Amino acid sequence: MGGFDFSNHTRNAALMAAGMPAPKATSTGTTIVGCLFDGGVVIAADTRATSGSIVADKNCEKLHYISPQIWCAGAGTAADTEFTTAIVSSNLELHALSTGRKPRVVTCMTMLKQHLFKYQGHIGAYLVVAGCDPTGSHLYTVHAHGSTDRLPYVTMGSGSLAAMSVFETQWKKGLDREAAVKLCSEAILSGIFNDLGSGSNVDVCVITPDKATLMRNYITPNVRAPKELQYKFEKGTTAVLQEKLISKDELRRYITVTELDAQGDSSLTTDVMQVDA
Amino acid sequence: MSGTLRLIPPSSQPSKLSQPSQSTTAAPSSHSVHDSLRHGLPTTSADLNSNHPLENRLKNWEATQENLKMETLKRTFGLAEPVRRGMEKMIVGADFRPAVLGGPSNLHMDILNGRECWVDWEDVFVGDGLDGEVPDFHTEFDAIMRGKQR
Repeated sequence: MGGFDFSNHTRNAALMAAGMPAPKATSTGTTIVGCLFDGGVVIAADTRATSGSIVADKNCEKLHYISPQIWCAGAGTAADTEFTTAIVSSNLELHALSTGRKPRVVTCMTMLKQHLFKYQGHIGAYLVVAGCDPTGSHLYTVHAHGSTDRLPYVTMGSGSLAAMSVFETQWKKGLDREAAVKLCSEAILSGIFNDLGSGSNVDVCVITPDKATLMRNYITPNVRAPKELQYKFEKGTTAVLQEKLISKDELRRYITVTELDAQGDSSLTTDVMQVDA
Repeated sequence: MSGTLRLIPPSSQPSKLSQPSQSTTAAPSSHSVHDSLRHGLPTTSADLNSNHPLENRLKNWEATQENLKMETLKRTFGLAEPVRRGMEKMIVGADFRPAVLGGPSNLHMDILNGRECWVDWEDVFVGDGLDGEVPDFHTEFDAIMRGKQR
């Protein structure tokens, strides 16, 4: 049933009734933002993937392709955002082929919200959907329970408050492309440095009616510095107490070794046992 | 058709159960006997108490949407419309191919259901569980023959 298996639910309920502690909820950390500008839309994301308090991936990709002119930034459970955007991408392509028209952002948003609403938030995908279609540029957020927003600038994830503070102070009406990219990356940087769940680099995707430009690692503010000291021991630090050389010829006393020529075909005899010499 | 315009499946936590509890777990030879070999020992408490809220919702999602559509059609065009569509589906759905052989690839049914340009998880991950296990041929055939007997 749609990737969910309920066969252990009775057992788990019985165990919890018997006093077994419930599994802890993992808080996920991400900063994703989006911003409309005159003639297009920008989305941006950080690149840290966390698993509890551990950084699982320092440079993961949170901007997902849906269709050539629609991209999606995902926060929440990484697998759920990946799979949800992938299945909506497939269905949107089928829909586009069926209608013979470019897919619309509102169609994509509706598909996402209907899918997520069906699962009542058990699919933990929090998405920023952005794109250009014949009706203009659009920016939406979709929450895991299926609620959606349509706004000129949006933020999501644990770093959304830090990012939103940047938008609230610096956003102006009628931004151009450069200003929008700068504002979005500023917002992500704010999330990277002020939110513990977000970090590493800034990914940006600019979508215009002509094309979408994915700028992977647009800003890398957290380059790992080279170590000032190195702790490798010099050769010969440990004294050699005993030395014994075993030459290849000695092996030939026990087995037959066949030398291969450059082409790899040896003069094969059937009773020869071949061993890596 | 139940005559309601439900958008989402109702919560189906049963407040009472009648024995035999499930027609789906009945033995093929005798409908009133629970098939313990296939479905394990019957536990009334499990039937009553264990229901993940999502389970029923997912199980009955398609049926509820279909019912809503048919009820709307009935109220708009009269009973003839959903009856005609039901008949068409019965004709088209008569095709049987065992699930172990991949199930019937029924394009016509997809068209009647409005799903001909739609791919879903269930199209890839078949079966109820996560293991992709489909009912074996005999179970499937039992179900068909049982339906014919009634």
